[in-house]
Amino acid sequence: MKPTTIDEAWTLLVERGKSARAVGGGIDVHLFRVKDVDTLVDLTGLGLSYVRSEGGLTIGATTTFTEILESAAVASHLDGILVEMIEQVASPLQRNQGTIGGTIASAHPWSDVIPLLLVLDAELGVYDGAARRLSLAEYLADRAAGVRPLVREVCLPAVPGTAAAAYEAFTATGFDVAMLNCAGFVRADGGRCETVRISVGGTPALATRLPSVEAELAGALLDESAIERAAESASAAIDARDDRRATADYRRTLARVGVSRCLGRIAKRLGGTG
Amino acid sequence: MTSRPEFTVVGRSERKVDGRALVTGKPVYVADLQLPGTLHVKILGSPHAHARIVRIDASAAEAMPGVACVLTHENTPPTRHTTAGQGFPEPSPYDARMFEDRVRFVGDRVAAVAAESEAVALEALKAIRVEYEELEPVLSIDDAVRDGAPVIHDEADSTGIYDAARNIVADVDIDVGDVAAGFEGSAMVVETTCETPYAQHTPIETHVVLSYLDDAGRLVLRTSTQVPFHVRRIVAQTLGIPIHDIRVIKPRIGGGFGTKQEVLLEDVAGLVTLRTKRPALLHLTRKEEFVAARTRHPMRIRVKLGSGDDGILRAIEMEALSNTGAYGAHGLTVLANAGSKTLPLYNKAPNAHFYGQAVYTTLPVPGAYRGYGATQGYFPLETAMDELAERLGIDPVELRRRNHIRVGEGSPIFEKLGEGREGVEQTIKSCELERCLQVGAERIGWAEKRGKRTRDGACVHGVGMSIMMQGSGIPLIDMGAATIKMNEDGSFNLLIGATDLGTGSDTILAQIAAEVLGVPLRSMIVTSSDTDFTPFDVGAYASSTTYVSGTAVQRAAEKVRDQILAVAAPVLGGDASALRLADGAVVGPDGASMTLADVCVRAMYETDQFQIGATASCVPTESPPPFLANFAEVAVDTETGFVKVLHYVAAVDCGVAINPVMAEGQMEGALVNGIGYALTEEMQISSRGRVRNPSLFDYKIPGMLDIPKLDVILVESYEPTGPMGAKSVGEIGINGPIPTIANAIYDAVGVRLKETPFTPERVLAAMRGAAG
Amino acid sequence: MTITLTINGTRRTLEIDPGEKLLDLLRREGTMGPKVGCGTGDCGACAVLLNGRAVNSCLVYAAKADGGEVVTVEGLERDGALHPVQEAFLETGGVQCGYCTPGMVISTVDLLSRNPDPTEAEIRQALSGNLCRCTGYTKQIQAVQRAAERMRGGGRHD
Repeated sequence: MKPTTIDEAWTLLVERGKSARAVGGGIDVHLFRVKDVDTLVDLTGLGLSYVRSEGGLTIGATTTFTEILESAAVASHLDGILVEMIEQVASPLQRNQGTIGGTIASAHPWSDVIPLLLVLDAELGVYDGAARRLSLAEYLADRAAGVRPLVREVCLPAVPGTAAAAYEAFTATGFDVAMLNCAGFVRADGGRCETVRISVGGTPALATRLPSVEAELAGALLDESAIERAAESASAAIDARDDRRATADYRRTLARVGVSRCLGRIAKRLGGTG
Repeated sequence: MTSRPEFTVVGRSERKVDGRALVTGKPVYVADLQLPGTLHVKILGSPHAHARIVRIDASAAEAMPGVACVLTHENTPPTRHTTAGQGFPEPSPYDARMFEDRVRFVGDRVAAVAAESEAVALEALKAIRVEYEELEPVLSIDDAVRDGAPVIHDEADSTGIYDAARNIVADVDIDVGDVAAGFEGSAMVVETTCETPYAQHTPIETHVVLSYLDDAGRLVLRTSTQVPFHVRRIVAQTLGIPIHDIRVIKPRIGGGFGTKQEVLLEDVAGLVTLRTKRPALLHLTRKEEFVAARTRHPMRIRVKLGSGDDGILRAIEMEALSNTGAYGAHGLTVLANAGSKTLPLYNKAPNAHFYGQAVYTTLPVPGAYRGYGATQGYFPLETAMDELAERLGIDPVELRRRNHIRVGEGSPIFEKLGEGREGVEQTIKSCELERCLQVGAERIGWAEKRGKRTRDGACVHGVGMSIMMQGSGIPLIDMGAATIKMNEDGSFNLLIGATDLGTGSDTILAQIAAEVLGVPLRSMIVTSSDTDFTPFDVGAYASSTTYVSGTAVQRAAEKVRDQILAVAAPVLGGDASALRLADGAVVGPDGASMTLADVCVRAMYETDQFQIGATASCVPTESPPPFLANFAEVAVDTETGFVKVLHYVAAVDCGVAINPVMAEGQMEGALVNGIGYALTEEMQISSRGRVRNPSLFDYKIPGMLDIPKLDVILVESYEPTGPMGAKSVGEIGINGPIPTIANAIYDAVGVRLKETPFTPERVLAAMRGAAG
Repeated sequence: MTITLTINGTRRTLEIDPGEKLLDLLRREGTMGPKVGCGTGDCGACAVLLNGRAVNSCLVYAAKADGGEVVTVEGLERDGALHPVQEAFLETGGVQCGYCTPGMVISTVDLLSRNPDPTEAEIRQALSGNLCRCTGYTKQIQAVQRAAERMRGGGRHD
């Protein structure tokens, strides 16, 4: 079914309950098939494919990853950090089909998109009978509790002043999901960290922010020893487990190295405060 | 080296004769042929690693609308056979039945359903009621051989098992001289034990067969196979029908690498067709390909080397334990090859001992896989050599130089250890390993880089090397044949049993024939791998196609050439012996010529008419090895353990390269597969014997982003016993990366890894372990 | 349900099962170029151009192709002449068993239609979703470079 208004789409999903799923590109609903789904509600007819750059960056939910990669606005946001991350997501074939809204709604624990969006303070425009906004973190929490509004768009705030971000993912081969990934964002004022956001994902759980580590760095100079301490703290702060891809112990190592490398790159991008 | 003649067609990188069809997406693969009324066949696999089937009730499935037939052990022939596609009598135990009241690995056949659609077949599988009595599983080699271990093959009617009561499929023990004395007299002794895990070939096309009855009511099997003639024979045996009632056709197939040297599906599809009179398509899913096709033999191999201070080996000992899974296909032969394709390389050692056992487990079934035991064997052998070099203070390249076999030399291993049974004595007649070492070392920058441990951020660089040999066919056992017949426009049909898996054998065999007949490649029309029309060939394995099938082609072409010259002689005047073939014509010493077309018109329509054509066969009496020197530069990330191969150089002597681009292509593909096996590939098995990562999502093979700069250097030799001087090149490349990368990692960070894959986690743990 | 789409230039109206994948639809309608390799979008053997973009047809619901344009490897020839990409793959030895070839060629056509002069890194990225077990990729990269060169030199650009 391909509704033409978002209200139509929402109504369909509510009516059909568990037997219906919203799709963007339709990759995840096929790969991670849930039983008894007999209706796919195609959202690509709702005019949600766009990238706008008024006051930050707003990306429509059904925008494909390739479209995002090709957007000049995306390339200039925070030195193209989104491009850097998206180029590591899946394959070009899947990026031509997969949508940003779809990937957020699937919230795979290895997601590359979510850790970066978390540190970029992303907000989502959602719809569940009425339009509203909430943070990505809130959306994920609601989602875990079974509440699933339709994602309409992803909004990244404009970045005032001096800021930089970085993303790191560790994979066995180039076309692979991460055994661990992490992202960082720092807004600096006179060399000191005014805003710090760090996330680590694929632990194997979905990415979350690390508030204790962020607190450590608040107001600090982003120098080598601060980075090393933060990396150690990050390693201890995550709930690492064993799975097919890596052991908990190794993930702790990767978290330390990954956060260290992210912060190191951020420091360089900020203009060498370290 | 014997000087190599000038060739016209051989030695040129001609385009593949089937290339255009492939690149334009023509429907040339098994599943591309759609026949009306085709039934879809699905196999029910066992959920248990080891169980008896107490009761099986297929009645609900049989009654389902759209289901045409259901096969179980209750309604299929009980004939014990081997699924291994080997020459008769196969050196593998007859321990398999089509279906049995016993399952021996997760995924083992329980039943099969043929239905109008895949969806109905899958529904029907669910409707089959099976009552299992679970038996104790055997999940490792050690578990298999301990006292009181469950006997996996305790049936009375299996044959060819070395010691079924102890789960030992094969036992090989070969002695040359006295190794104990050899080690006693050695100034330096090095010992290492290495392990390689389950890995899968992952051909991009999984196993697939389409069976149907032709108009004469004969069973036709259109199948993705490396061994059409073995398929015909083994299906005849299994189903109890005459060989002459079966036709096997191999169309284009999407890769094999050994997993299709097996009769895996054809009996089931064939029986469905015989019972329903309808075409049947059986196409494994990717998951089934991982779980229920064939895999690499996991092995644990110990190598002990003893040498003098000069590095010249006094004694080599290899002890191999091979996990041959639930059925013994290829168990003996892969085990034996771990020694037969490795030990002769270092023939300077007067004392050698090979001892090995292949053992059953209730795990996925290994089979043939490119390298065939040599891949596993070279890991401990070439890393032990690297260690020996270090302990003696001799450069690793130099150590190989002092020890490797050379032209004019033989090795007692050749005749003592062949493909499971005795081998065949031989003397090396072509070997450019010396030059391979020289050009390879130069290309990688060996002298400049070895021991330097250059740092690059968190990464440390290192270089490593290794050498190896393989074989070219199985002497006295393999046989290939070719038929050539002439057409009245001067073109020829070349009919070969030899199996092109994508390897390009159709093309290179046509090049050989074209060379002898003095025609361009396009004058050869190739038909291959159809048991009704092409003469016998064992199939594509053991690196036999160029050397064995190629020789048959050369001989057939020479016979045809002689016939052509005999037809032309009276026309051109003089003796046939003064004539030769060139540029599509017969040419006399005075320059007079007659086109091939005219020759054939004369023979077909005009005078003393007969069909110009001939069949010839080849049974090789030796197996001249190709030789390979590998050099790799790696960067090891000391913070994460990630290993990146930066540059891989492979200098290979495959004799004369019939088609250089194709020979390079064989090497490049094998090397990349080997790199995957070294760094990322491992089938993970759960504590219940289940494959945990049966998908390309979780089992990682190298992609475009993962390959290093690959430098394949063809260092030609001229093999006098080979067609046009050729040997083989199909397998050897895959043996290089594991030991070469292991040795490079050691050069970089000083740790020796003994277990593949060299995942970042393992590398990091080894570095930390070494640090204390 | 009924959909209408253009397959290699021919408009088709077809009955489909709503859950049917584009790959299965193409193959049952006789377009055998795209291959079945894994069914999960991991190998790329099924790649086709959908509305000008290379996608895994095993992941695309046929219904989503309604009103769209599909080009498979069979649609690249013009009057019996091979597309420069096809030609290049043949020349460099980038085709062995050929099973990954249709998908490789499609991904290459997509790349070169947007980036006529790709670096080696860009080529590897663009083809990273197409797995090959036979060739070791080296000659395929050369094929893309050769095709790009030819196409820049005035060959076809479609």
